[in-house]
Amino acid sequence: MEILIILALVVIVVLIVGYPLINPERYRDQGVRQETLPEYDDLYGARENVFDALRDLQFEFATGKLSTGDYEQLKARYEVQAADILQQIDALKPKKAKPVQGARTCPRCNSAMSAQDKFCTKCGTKL
Amino acid sequence: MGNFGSLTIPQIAEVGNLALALGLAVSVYVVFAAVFSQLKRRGEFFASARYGIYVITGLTTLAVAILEWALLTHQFRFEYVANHVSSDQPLLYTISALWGGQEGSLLFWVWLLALFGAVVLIQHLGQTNHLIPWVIAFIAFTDAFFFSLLVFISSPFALLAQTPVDGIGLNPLLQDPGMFIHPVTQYLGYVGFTVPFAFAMAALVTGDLGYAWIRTTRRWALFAWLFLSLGLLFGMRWAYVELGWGGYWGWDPVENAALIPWLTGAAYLHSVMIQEKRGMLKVWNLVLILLTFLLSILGTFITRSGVIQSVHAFGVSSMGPLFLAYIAAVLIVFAYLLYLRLDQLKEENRLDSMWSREATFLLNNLILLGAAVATLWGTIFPMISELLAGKQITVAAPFFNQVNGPILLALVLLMGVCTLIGWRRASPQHLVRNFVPPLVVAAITTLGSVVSGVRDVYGLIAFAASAFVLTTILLEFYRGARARMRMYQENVAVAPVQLVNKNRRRYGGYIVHIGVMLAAIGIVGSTFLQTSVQKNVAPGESVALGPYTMQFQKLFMTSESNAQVIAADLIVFENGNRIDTLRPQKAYYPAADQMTTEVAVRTTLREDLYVILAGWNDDGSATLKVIINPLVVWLWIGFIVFIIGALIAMLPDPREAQAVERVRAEKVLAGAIVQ
Repeated sequence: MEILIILALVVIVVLIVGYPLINPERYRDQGVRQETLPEYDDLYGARENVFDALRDLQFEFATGKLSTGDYEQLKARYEVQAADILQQIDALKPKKAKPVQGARTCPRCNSAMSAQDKFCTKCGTKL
Repeated sequence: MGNFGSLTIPQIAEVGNLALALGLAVSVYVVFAAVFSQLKRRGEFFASARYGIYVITGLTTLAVAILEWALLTHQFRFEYVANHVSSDQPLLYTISALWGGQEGSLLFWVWLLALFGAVVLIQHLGQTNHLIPWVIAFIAFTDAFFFSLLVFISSPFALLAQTPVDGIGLNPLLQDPGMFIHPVTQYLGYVGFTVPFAFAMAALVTGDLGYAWIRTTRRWALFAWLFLSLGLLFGMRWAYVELGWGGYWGWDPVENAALIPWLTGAAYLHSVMIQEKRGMLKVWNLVLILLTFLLSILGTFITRSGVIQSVHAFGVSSMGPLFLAYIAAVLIVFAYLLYLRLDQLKEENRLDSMWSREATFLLNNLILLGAAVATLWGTIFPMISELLAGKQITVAAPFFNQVNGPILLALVLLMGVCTLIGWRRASPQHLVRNFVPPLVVAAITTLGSVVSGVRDVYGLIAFAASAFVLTTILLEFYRGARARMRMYQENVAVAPVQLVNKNRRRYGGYIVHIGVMLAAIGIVGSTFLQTSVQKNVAPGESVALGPYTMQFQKLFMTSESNAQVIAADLIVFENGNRIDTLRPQKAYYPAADQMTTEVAVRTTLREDLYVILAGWNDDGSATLKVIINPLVVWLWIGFIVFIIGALIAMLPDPREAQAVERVRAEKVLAGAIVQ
């Protein structure tokens, strides 16, 4: 009885852990492909951060923590940064971007957006 | 339920030990399989490693189930059961005996870590996050370490040569509802920090040190830190009602061991914001999460090894060298990887101004780390002195109070200043304007405290500081809501709600600060304004303290299932009016030959009346110790506010989710995703 339980436990463990190794075809690509090009990750991350920074600035100004002069100066600096990042992203894109299934695009300028967006993030068209 | 089918107790123990041994084998295999899958780009090995994590979860669950079964059915042949359960012990404490002793709590640790590993995998199911293989490699490595402690040093399934008639039972001090929950929360916190650290290691190995690992682990870090806070709360509450010396914090080594990772964790939660917003402090954040993780491991070790004399020390064992070896291994690998990646970790920005929130965050980090280092030094000093001088020199509470008091006061003040200063840059004239209202409130509070009889200088400073900080935070909510009303035409009822809702992390954080301030008021009140009296009284006589008079009625004895209780009946008068009755008790546990104190507490928002039955005599008289702890209830209220704030900060942020999806859509469009 006890031997049976011990054997069963060992066999179950070996079977579960070994299963992918005897069916390598099914699992070949799991967890080994880079999902995106890393330079995109960095640029998009940087872009979201600059957008956050601009939103923060506006709010700090509205709550009276920034003088008008400082606000204008910082805002201008972050806008330049944002423009620079957007340019780098554009430069990375292939020349003719063809719309891919599953991605929602703006009807006017054809840039991509999420399903929840109410306005185009690029040209401001109402969706 | 006496046995499993026809299995005998030794056979069941063997199955339990086998589960642990298999767990160790699979953990070691997972480390190699996960690493191999990445080095040779063989997906099937990653899949196998993933299944391995699920298998480990199953095996630890089996081991926990066997031990819990043995506890509940009083299988005293198991040494662990005989040591931690007695047949008259209440059910609740029979269940909690699982984490009441060394072997059980180590098993509990590895079980939680296995569950967390499975949760991480499920969270990333169907995604191809290239950090994950390294994350599970590290989690499995840590699993393997804890399994080897259980397999080679202290098995929870060890058997006695003969079955004793009854067990010794759980340490009576731990037979308290607070002790049912405190270790669970504490361990969820300790174990929880493994996940963010595993991601940090994965980021170092892959060189993907950008935003991904920080963003993925933000909630895990907050989760772990929240549970460390809950662990502190329940531990303090337990000390307050169960240890019976009138306080809740004694700078005991194990209390310190829980506080230190909490401090470094708090520093980490603040400094990652600077990395997210400004791309700065990358190395610093990696080091902070390393420290927090290792201090959590050290906390487990100090609690469970008995290296330092403490109320928590449950017996010395030979685990020390293994713990040190594990910590050293992690440190060496981390340092090597960090060295390799140093040029990738350059700062992307500079501080815009020393008068910015970033600068105050840096200062906050230094202060939190200072408190952590001071506390750590005092905690391990006995070990060091034993090593160098041959005897343990214990560092007492006054050291910790003297060192940490001013540090924590500085932290409190900074909390207020930081709130008044915006990100990036503060304009001096605005800063001055913003400082005026909180300073006025602080001045009024000081005056009020003096008038109501506070004479202690530290007490006055601390109250003034608390008032200052609370005002700055409330003003922040007011200004934010007003700005929203202007910017989005929201009305008075909607604006404050939307303010929190639209930036849960920031305003959840402010609510946490409010909680910390309320707790600080409780701590200051009960530390600086405590009064007490001790008196021997015959039946009919009274003890008086402050506005209270307690008339002692009589002593009487009762028995509970596993203890004999002696209690004193008291009638409480306040300014001559009868307001309550109190019954302080002592309980004697024959099985453990140990006495515990059950204090009687009458709590109001203003103060706690705290009565201890210190002793009794054959003539029927009793020695009573009466303590008035002003404002102490605010400590517990502060904790509740704190927890609400932390939960709000943990909620998913709709704006963040939207951004993630937008980025994903763009990547697909740009052809950056391999479909």
